[in-house]
Amino acid sequence: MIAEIGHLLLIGSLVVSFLAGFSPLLRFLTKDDFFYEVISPLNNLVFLLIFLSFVSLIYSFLIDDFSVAYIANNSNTLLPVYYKLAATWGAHEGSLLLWILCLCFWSTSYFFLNRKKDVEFVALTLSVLNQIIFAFIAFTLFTSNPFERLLPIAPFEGADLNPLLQDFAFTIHPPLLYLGYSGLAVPFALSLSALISKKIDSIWARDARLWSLLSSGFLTLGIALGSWWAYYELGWGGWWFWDPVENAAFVPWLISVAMFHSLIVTERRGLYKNWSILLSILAFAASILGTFLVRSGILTSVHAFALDPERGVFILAIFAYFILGSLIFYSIMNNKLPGRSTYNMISKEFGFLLNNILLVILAISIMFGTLFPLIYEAIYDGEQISVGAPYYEVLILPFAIALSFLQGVGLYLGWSSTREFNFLNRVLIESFSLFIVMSLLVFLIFGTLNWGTFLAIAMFSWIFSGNFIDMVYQSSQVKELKLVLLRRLGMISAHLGTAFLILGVGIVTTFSLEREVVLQKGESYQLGSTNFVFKEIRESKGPNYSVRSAAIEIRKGGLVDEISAEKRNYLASNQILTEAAIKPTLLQDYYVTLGDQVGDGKWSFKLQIKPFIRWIWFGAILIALGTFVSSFRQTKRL
Amino acid sequence: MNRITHYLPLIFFIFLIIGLFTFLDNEESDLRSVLLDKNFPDFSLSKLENQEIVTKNDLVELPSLLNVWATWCIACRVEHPYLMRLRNESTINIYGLNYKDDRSKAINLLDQIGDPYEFSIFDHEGILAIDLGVYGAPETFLIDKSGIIRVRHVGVLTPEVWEEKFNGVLNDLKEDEK
Amino acid sequence: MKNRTLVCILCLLSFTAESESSKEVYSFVNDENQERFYTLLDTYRCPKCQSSNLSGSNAPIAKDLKREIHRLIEEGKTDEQIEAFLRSRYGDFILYKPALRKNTLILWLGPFILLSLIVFLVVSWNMSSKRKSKDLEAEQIVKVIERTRLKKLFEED
Repeated sequence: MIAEIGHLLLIGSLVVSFLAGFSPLLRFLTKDDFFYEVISPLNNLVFLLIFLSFVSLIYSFLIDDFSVAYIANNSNTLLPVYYKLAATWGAHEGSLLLWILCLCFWSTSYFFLNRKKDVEFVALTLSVLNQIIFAFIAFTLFTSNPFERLLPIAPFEGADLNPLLQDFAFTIHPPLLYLGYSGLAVPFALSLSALISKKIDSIWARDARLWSLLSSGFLTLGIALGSWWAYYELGWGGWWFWDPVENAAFVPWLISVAMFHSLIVTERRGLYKNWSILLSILAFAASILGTFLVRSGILTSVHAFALDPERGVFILAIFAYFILGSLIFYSIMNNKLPGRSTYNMISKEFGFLLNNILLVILAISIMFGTLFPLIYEAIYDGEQISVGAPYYEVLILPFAIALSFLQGVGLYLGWSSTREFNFLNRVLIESFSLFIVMSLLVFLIFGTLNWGTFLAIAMFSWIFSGNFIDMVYQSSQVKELKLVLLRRLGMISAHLGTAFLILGVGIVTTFSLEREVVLQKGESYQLGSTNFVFKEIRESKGPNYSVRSAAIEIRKGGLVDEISAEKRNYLASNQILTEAAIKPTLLQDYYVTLGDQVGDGKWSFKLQIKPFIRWIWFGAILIALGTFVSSFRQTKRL
Repeated sequence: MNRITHYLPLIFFIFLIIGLFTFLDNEESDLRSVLLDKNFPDFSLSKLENQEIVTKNDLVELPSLLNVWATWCIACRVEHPYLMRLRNESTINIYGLNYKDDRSKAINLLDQIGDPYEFSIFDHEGILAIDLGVYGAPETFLIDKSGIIRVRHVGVLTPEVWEEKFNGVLNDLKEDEK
Repeated sequence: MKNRTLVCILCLLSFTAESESSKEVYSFVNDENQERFYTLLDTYRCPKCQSSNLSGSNAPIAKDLKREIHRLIEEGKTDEQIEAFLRSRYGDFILYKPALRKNTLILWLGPFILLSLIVFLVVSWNMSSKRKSKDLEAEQIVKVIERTRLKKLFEED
């Protein structure tokens, strides 16, 4: 019953969002401002309807309403309550509804923060957002309806949520990610409004910057969480695979970073207006393209929703409408008076321009690499090729170096031109000192060094010096330092975050150890300076699975700890899942996965040591924090 | 100059969308074999049924089929009746490649459900399979009379697949012989 | 006496070293081979899995290929020879690092060519723009000078 209400609410929201989305047309025809004013209440009504629809889906999950096909396919009576909740967005249909809910949240938030502003501008922005909402509701209702029923015979039991997804991190990964993806629609809509109403000014830039910071922050969290989850859930010890779905999230992230940097110049100096508009369109395009790649079945991937090409055509149509439409507006109505580029090449303006170019070309290249197998197959008559981690690692390195360099000096460049170059000496000395210290530390910990580590430490030291050490050095008093830090807190946090991330990546890439071993009960194996002891096999039960776990004792120096590597048999689907045993410490993770039984009492294991891997996610969290701090400060300027 | 550059993104995305649209038609998701039109690899393994060693030269009566199967492969059971039919109704020989299996279990299975193969090669370690680019079961190869691999199918062999992939080539080969 | 203890210790040490390698699923003649092995596993794709390298796959074919790569490394084959071995059986699909060929040049060089091109365009545009505005400035200065001179001429009259 509730499911039917949910369905009706969804249909209602389709109608209302259509009205809200195309109301400006009526304003254009009748010149009656009512058609602008009515958009806000309509928008809020859409949010309410979608929210209630979503709630009814959750409710149906919680009461095990298996007459709903989506619930029958993704849930089970044995499933713990918190996973029934998460199962709402566990597969294609429900996750779409979550995506729409996130977008409605953003559009209503935009309304609340701007309700006292320029009526036309707000109306246009909301209408664009509602057109997007309408398009996605239509896609959901007509091709991917989560409320479809299995009547008249509802099954007694459901198929179960994919065991891989029965996990805490998964519970929050999609909401965060979707907040990021859908959030990019707001700067997009703002740009269109600015183009149409010809108000491409610093007010628009200030607004756009806030929303691009917010969505970028959520994307950062969503991607970091996905990486962490893949690390401990998938059992192979890796944290990034350059999988098409991962790239589909990374590309919009890169563009969003370019966007909120470019908007700084637009807000402060009135320059790069066309760049900023274009970036907002590109960011949103990347977001929709990501949705397309993941849900159209066009690319095989571990975590693509396995779907059919018909849905792909629908998403492609949505993509074409919004992106080609906005680009037509851009081509015709772009800012006709670009600022005279009177700035020096050694200037903040030029630095930001280089930043834009580097990030966008990197993003395009990653997208090209992801699509390359398809392109190659189409041109060369079915011949198959793969593009994976080895390619992307070579690709990203020069870009990372260039971007790190800019990050270190960006602060000290002047607007228009840079007069004082003493900072170079200071930063060089500071980063060189830090470089020596870090290299020594790394050598002490790992007993060896190589070019990869040197590079990572160099980038780390450079960014750290330019964004923190020099500030400390330059301040004559603690009070002054506090003020400076507070003023730039967001930037410092985010830039330091990238420094830690780069360091973590460099170290884990060069110093990881792994071994596949077969151990008898009681036997141990020495990997590096760590002893792994296989104590015993235990059997137990979880809420909806049975467990066989291997107790492994880890001995290193003074540290002695026991972890358990599991093989879980999920009863409903009879799927076997490997749960890795992880012992995190400050400097490294110890990682053990249980393999197969190889004879009486003998089991195979994969042992891994992952140094500095937590620093990657620590860095990512710092980036997200910095992004959110900056957006909070941006709201103060509104 | 400026005017044109502003139209570039639009043009780029038009091409992108057209490209993506064509990609949607992509049906083939199985790995295409690189051994097509190449010689069947040399090997020296024992038969399934006994310890007799067979090599490439023992694959006589070409053109013939090589079918990769195992007792642990459920889909192989699905195609088994059709293999029996092919054995009885057509003139083509079928050789089996018993892939990473238990010898006695495999022999028992064939006893139970019938043996469509002239003989099966016992590839316990999957060595010949790797040389053939096999990555799972079932798979079926068509080898012509010169020992060249002409067709490779991944998955269950059905009448439709036979029509689509094998029959045409087989007829062409017979034509060439004349 | 000392010699015997030394021999005992050496025996114990070699015994532990050997017993460690006896537990390894893949044991190697030297550390270099071992490192090569684990590095290579990351660069080849599992033919059966949706999207995984050999290192992270439990599929039977992945295990077999690991075994083969181990054998080839121990036989002294180079990385290129191992790649050729795998490629001749499974095609380019199995390589996660696309081979550098004429038709993959755009993949490998494209980004850097594009980057250089755009940076070059931007830099030259910037310089010509500055030249233009410097010229403009110069023009204006000349105009001002002319005007003052004319003014003076008029005033003198």
